[in-house]
Amino acid sequence: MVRPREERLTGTLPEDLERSAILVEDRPVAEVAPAKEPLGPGEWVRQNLFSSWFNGALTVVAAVAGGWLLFQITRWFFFRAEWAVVKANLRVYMVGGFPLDQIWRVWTSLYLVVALAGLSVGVVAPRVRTLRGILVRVALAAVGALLLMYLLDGVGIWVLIGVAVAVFAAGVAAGRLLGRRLRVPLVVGWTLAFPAVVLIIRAFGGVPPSRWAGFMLNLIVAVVAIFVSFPVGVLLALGRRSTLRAVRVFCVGFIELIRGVPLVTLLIFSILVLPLLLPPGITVPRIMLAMTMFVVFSSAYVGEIVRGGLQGIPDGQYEAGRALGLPTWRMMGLVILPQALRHTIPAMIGHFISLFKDTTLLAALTGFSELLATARRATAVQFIGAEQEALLSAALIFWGIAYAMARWSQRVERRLGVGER
Amino acid sequence: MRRRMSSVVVLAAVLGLVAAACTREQPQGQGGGGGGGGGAEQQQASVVQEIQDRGILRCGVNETVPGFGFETAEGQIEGFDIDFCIAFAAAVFGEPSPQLGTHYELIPVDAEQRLAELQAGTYDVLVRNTTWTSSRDGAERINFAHVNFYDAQGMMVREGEFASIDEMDGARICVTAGTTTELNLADYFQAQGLDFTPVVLEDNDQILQAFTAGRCDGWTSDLSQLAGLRAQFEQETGPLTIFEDVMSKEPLAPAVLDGDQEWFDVVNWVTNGIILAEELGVTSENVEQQVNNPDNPQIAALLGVPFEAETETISVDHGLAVENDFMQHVLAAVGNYGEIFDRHIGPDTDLGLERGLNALWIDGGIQYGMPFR
Amino acid sequence: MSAVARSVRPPLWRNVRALRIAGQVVFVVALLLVGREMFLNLEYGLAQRARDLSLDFFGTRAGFGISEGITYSPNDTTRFAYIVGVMNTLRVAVFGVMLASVVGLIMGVARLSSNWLVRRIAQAYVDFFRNTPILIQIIFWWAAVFLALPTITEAISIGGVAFISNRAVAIPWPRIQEGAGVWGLFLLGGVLLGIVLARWRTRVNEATGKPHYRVLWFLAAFLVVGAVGFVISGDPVMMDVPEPGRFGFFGGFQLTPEFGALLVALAIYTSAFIAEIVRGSIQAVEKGQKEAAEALGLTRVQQLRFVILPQALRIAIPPVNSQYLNLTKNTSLAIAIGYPDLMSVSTTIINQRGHETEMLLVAMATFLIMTLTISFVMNLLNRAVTTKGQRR
Repeated sequence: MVRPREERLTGTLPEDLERSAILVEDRPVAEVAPAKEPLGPGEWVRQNLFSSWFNGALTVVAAVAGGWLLFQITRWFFFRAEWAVVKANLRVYMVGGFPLDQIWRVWTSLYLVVALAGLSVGVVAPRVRTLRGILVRVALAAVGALLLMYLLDGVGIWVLIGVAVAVFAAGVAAGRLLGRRLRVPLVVGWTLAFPAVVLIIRAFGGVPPSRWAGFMLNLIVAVVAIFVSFPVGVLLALGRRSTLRAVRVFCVGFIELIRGVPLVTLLIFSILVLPLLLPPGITVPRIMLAMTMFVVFSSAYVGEIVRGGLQGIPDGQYEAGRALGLPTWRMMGLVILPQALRHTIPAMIGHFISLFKDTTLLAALTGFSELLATARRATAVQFIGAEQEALLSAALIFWGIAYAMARWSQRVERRLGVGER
Repeated sequence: MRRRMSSVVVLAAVLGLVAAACTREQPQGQGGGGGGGGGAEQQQASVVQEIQDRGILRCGVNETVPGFGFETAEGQIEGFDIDFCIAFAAAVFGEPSPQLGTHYELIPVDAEQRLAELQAGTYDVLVRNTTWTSSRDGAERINFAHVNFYDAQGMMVREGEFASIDEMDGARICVTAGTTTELNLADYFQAQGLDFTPVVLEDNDQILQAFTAGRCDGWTSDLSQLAGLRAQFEQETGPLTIFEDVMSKEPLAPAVLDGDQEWFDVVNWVTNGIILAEELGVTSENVEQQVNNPDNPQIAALLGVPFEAETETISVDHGLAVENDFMQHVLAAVGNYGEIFDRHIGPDTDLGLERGLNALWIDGGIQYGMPFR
Repeated sequence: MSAVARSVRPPLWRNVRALRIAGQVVFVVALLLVGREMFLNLEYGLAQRARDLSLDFFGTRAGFGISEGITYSPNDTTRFAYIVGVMNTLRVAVFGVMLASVVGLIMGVARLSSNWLVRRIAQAYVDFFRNTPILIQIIFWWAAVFLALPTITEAISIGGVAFISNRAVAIPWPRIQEGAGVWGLFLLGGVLLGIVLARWRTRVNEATGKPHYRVLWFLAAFLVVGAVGFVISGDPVMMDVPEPGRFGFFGGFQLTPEFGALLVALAIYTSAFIAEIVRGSIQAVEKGQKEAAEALGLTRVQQLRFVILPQALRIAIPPVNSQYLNLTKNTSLAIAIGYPDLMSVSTTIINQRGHETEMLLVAMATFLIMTLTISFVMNLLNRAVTTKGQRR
């Protein structure tokens, strides 16, 4: 049916090309690709692992190297490693030296966040229908439960965690039930959750910021930085594209200065020099100084990301906005920014992930007992020589969250169709 | 609808910031008399007043030196230096049992940043094995109170590797960054005509890791610290030797910023009073009884109570920025010098330090309590 | 102003131009006021501590030791101590960028391999290292890997020329000898000859259609001339083999645990990002291009070499640039493991000399110069590849 026609190419192409025949089809290519036939296991292995001599060799080498590494890691993980350091320090990892009689504040905050998360999952996430999806979730839950069973002693903590799980499940159920009606209340809820958590921990004879510690501190710093830097960053981006020269110059200078200097340097600056720049008599807790610098740092990056989004908006949109007679700020707020911000979502999530990871930099300045610092500390007090276990467990906590966020961001990206033109 | 939502978002963000920043952290009456940069002289009226207004004393401390300031596995910082912070809190607030988080706050800081942060006002007093030197007193504008520990720099090695420091030509030596130790090390080796490579690390935790792993041959620091570290970690590192060659004198003292004499006096006299109390035999146990019925005029003066002599009542007004009876609370809170020493670093503790230079002058040491009168 | 007045004469408060100018003036004045206030506060704060802003401390004797870097003694000036720190930063940055690029490229291509196993391994590598905080990685490499190597007395010797221990990993390293200048001239000549020959082969290929084998001709010319030059100039380069001593090694290239940990951690972390960029850039090359290349009957390697990579490179340069910047900036995390980079030397100086404001401003300026230089070079490169054969 398809009659091949041979053609010869001439010109300066590599020599071996000239000899090869090229098939040109007379008929238009079918518009819908045929469904792939499922491969048998033998065929799959042949196509994916041993398609050529070179590929076969690669497979063997990779399998040997990877297998050896996997064997070593597994053996170390289950038989060599002394996980006692994690077990003994679990609470310190999470909240550091947080006063025990005030710990209910942390749990209350946790329940609040878990409830919101449950509701959001119920509203947003589709029901898992595929067998694979269910299996993956069951496996994850089983691993989590096993881990907890190993790590946790005592009935109290189990009850507390059980409540958290129950709250989450109830949230999911309620979210399913109420569906999309909850969308707006949820956005408001999440927005209020941040000040609410700070209040729960801080207010009414609560715990001052100087005693916030452990993984809780990482989370608080990250959330504060994300929250506050977002509006500041948008302003910087608008300023950078402003037609007012003075504003533009300032914004460009600010963004480039902050982006050209390492975060550690900025943080040290915030601890040592920032207090001198404040009016005399005002003393700000160190952690607030550091958080301020996180906000400044993050807003410069947010500014750049938003600028990228703004640049992607065609001129026609501006013209359309003006044609409607909108003043500049309303045009920006109603026409341009909503489109621009939508395009920046993947980059923004990426930035927030790295900001979350960067909260560990507090460990490079002493005096902040965030997760990495406590993990390091644990190996210098009691568990000398357990650096691998202590650091790896801290790394895995960060990795788990960052990886989950990255996966989620990919999903969002696909759903928004960003990047496809 | 949309409108309302965005305003809620903004409101929430602002609220959160306010809640995070302000709740009790700022001194209430900080405006007071001198607002901006103009009223320079009045501005720094009194640190003591500022601390009392704030309601909490902030101490810069070390959390990595066993016995002196060390964070335990439970995340609590304890030690000899920490007790002095508690003592200052007791004096400032007139509180016989100061509580962490309520009356005082411990801010761990490393050697490299401790002075800069004192200058930046991060804490009111630095009790963190800091050596009293002329350039710190002068150029760095730090004020050192009465020495609470006379120390010296020494060198610790693994047993059997060296017989003396002279054998360490070319060795790798671990030292903490930003300390006088770091400077002394360079000077001492140069003076002895010895070569060395420093391994400069941020704090004792890191040096411990490096030293235990064999990254360096020697570990130089204050003798007291080395003794503490040896006691704490000898099981892990194997037997250790501390050379007695003293590389330098290291008088360690609580430090405050220049410029506020009142606050300096308080820190100075609390430290002094703790030493004098040992001399006079006042302890945390008998302080209450001594308050009611002081043995002699000196004790009465120390505790700020009148002494009923046969003919007259002698009472002393110290005129310090704290209540006259501040030493009662200090002694009730932490006890006298001997008690603090024995509790954290004395012969019965893991460190097992002898009093040595830190014995009272009547026992052959050089600790000498200035009179309360 | 008058021009506007002539035409429509709106009142001043609705005159766009006047408003724009007023707005900028207000903005600038507000900025200046805030800046002035901060400066006054700083001045006041410093005056209270009887200090002033000055860079004189750079001229004083440093007094402290530095564990590695160019030759230095505590008797040198503080300025020189800082320069030692800067050089140490550059050393990590340069080696780190090279290592990260190579590993990143390999991993990026492996991510798209047709081999399922290779693809999966590369993906696991990227997913793990990208999503773990860099500081934890650096500390892990230092405390859990490099310090866990055998001690100096039990150092592993590899054929007596390379040694592995936790004092240093020492490997042989070429050292330039006398006569290197002459050899350098020969090498240059070899390159020139190679270029001439390659041009000639290209012309032959264009004229006759015979295979050109440009690369082979070039390499042959270069190697022959280089080898001849090596013999003539009399051993211009010697391998400097490390020798074990009681406390460490002499000679060779020495990776101390601090340098090694920082280098490896930064290179691996950054390579994971570069791998993603490489993958993304290759995928971003229009599908039609690959199909066209396939249609032309190019082999897979040819497709990559002649069609995909040149286009992917253009897409990749800007994001790779920002990864290089990140790597350079991340060298400052050295302070967590005691590698004497510019930041950790700066903090030491701050503690020994005071003057934190000035010192930190100098450190920031140094970083700005470094990052701007990298950006400048990468921009040049970007221009070079985009103008070549770009339609627009």
